[in-house]
Amino acid sequence: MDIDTIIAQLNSKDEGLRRESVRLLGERRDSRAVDILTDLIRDDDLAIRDAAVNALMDIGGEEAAGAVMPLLYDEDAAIRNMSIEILEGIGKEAVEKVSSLLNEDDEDVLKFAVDILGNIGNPDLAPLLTPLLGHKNPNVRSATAITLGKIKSSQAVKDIIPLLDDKDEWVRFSALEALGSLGTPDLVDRLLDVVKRDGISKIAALDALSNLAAPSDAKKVLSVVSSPEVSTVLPVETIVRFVEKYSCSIDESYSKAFLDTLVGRLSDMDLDERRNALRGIILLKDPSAIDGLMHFAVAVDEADEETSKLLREALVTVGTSGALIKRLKSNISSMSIFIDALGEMGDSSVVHDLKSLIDMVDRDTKKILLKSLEKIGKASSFDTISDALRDKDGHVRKIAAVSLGEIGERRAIPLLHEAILKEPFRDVQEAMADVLSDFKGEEVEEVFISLLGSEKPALRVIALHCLGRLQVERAREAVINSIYSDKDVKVREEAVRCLRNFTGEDTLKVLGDILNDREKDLRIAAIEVLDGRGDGDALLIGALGDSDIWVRFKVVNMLAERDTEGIEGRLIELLLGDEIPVKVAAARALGRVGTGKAVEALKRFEGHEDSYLSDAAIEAIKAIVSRDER
Amino acid sequence: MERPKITRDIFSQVRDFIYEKCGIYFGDGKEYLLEDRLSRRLSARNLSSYEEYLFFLRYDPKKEEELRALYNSVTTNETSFFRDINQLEAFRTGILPKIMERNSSRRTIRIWSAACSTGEEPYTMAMILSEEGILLNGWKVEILASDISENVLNSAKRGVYGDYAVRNTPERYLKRYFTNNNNSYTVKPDVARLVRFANINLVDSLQVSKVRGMDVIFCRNVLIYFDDHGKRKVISFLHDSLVKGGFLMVGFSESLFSITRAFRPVGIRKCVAYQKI
Repeated sequence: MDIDTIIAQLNSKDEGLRRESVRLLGERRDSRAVDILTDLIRDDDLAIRDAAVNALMDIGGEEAAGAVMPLLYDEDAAIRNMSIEILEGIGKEAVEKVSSLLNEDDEDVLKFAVDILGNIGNPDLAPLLTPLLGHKNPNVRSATAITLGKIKSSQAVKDIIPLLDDKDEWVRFSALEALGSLGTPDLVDRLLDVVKRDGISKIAALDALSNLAAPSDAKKVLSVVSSPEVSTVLPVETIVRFVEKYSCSIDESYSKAFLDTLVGRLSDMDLDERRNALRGIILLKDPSAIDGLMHFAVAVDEADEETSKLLREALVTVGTSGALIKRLKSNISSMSIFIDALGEMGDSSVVHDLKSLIDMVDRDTKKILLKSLEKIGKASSFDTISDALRDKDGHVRKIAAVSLGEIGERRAIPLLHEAILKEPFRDVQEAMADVLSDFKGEEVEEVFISLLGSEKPALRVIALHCLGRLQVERAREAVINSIYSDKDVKVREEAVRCLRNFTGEDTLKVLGDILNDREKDLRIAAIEVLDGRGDGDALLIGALGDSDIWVRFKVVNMLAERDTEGIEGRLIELLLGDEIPVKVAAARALGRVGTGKAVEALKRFEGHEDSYLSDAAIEAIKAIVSRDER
Repeated sequence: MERPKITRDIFSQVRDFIYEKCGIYFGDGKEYLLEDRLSRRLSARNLSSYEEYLFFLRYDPKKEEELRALYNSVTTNETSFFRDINQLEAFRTGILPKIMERNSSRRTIRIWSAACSTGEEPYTMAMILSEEGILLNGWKVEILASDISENVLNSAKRGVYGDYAVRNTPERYLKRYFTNNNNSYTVKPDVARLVRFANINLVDSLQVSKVRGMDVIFCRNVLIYFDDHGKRKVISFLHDSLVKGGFLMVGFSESLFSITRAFRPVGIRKCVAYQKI
């Protein structure tokens, strides 16, 4: 659709069509649409305005920036805000135009310009901005300080420092914010003076200190920061930064001051505050936090993953297994966090208590409980975990199997064998089989050989898979028998795959037979096994004539990767006569093994409507030409 | 049991394909997630690499069928009845009265649960409205529930749930609106009939354009699948589906800030709803 048609659609009565047209104008990135889009920022329909803002940002460039700039003077605050957003969205291309406003008499517009430049972030502008630190308007001075901080202009530090004594508190605050990111440790004493004052500057000064104070400042900083009048107003994030910075220097008195604040903030509504509080508690490693933590663990309702992870770490860091078990016994809610933490602690004395909970908890908590028993490990956990192989929930049975594998006691083998026979779910069966095969040994091999006689095809498949994995030579005859005789195609297929673990002429003959089987999946399995053999080329080349496109596709790819000789002619035939996926594979293969003979055929597909084919042909020609030149 | 690995190049191509088809975006570094989601599809189609899978999606005669299976695989369906109770309370006490006031002459409420997964959300809406006595007062309730995944829609239509799905359901709702058969909970017919299910891809403008005149749209915990471009697209389509003054509710931890300016955020009981002006 041409741009004039799109513009005509802007008059449609259909609001969806209008909005889509605006979006298309942005997508075309045609600067002819700039003026129209600028007008649409004033449209009655908010969705149109929204689309126009996005479209102008998409078009970008100095022209769009120039068209939007006059809107900074608009009486309507929404229009001004949108134009600020557009200019920031345009980014670097808008800098020159916006910089021209730095001599502006209109102080509001001047401030907007400073803000925009700060958000675009061009450090080269510092020399233009610095003089504005002395502007008569405090909003301009503040905005300039903040912008210099954002663009990381360290040479401006000396010019920002005098603003610490500015008569306007907001300017002082902004200067502190900037110095927090730009300043150096020699400012510490100055900042400590500011902390002693009241007002919003205190918090900004503390924040700045947490960033730029040096390790050598530990004593003087901590003594101020841990005082009651300061520690109680500190944002949690700032406390955490101080604790991180000075962890070696924090003694009991400092720790208590911070801990009281951190534990108090655990009940904050804000998620980030709670997480930061937990981080701080972990860093302080102070056992006196345990009561507050446990109270929080019980009170919190469905904590998100990150909070749960932090809480668990905190409990493990400051708690004892005795304290956690005591709380577990007294309060049935929020158990999973405590159980998880106990697992991490690895104290085997709690196994009996954990066992007693197994029938009282829901599925998800049970899974955590089993994992914790596994982490505690060894004989004391074994019985409970193996009982869970009979749990009514499949997820629990799966976890139990995996945990038995981790514990590694061979007495699990017959239990897993029994469990797998009764298991109704495939994924749980597979997990159990994986665990069994990790045990290895004759006993395990016998289990899988016995499963070959199961009535359930799924179990026969699993058995074959594991016998293949274990490379059980004595199962060879049974495997070959399955290939020819089993009634289930999936079983036969798995048996074919098993052959990759057996060498010898007889297996090659079997694979050759399978290449003529009517089941495509068996033929694919056979070619995949042949691919792993050094003596498979002849059979693979024969499979290039298979009736199924995906068999041919795979074979071509395989032969190419094997750099098989003598197949160029065949590949050219496939390139010219087969379906697109095979053509693509053939083109790529010719790139590896082809000669000048193939170039003419490949050239027919340069610029083909299918981009995969066209690209493959072009790349192949390049590869052949490059080989010839060498 | 081992599964194929996805290369960086093929990941980009598969990612772009999925994005083009349904707007779901897998960011850089999410190769493991895509592998995890798609490995079963490879097994099901007996393919040994993700490149083969991509070719299958593009060229095989069964590609449309596979596309539906793909949608089922890439969407996460974790949900429950009465999820995010604060938002539901905001809807019940803040939004519903406004809608009823506005629609007092035609006495119809139309709600869309976009990305309904296995149906817990739309059925929850139906129960809340039933509990408010709205149907008894002669109001008509139409709840449209849609999802891109056919599997979950089929499950939703059956209306049968286990313990886990009803874990947040208040006792009186459990007793009044479910039939309990040995910890298998079935939604009662008088609730189920209020909900109509449809297969809708939220980035398909043609499909979404057929949904119009909605008073409230719930689009919770689905925007996370999309990048900013995709989010803007979906939100603009949903905007068109709402009546003027209608409300859009997104996930509790989601925000439309930097995505759209076409709605006015409205604070209701510590939740934010977005109103079409």
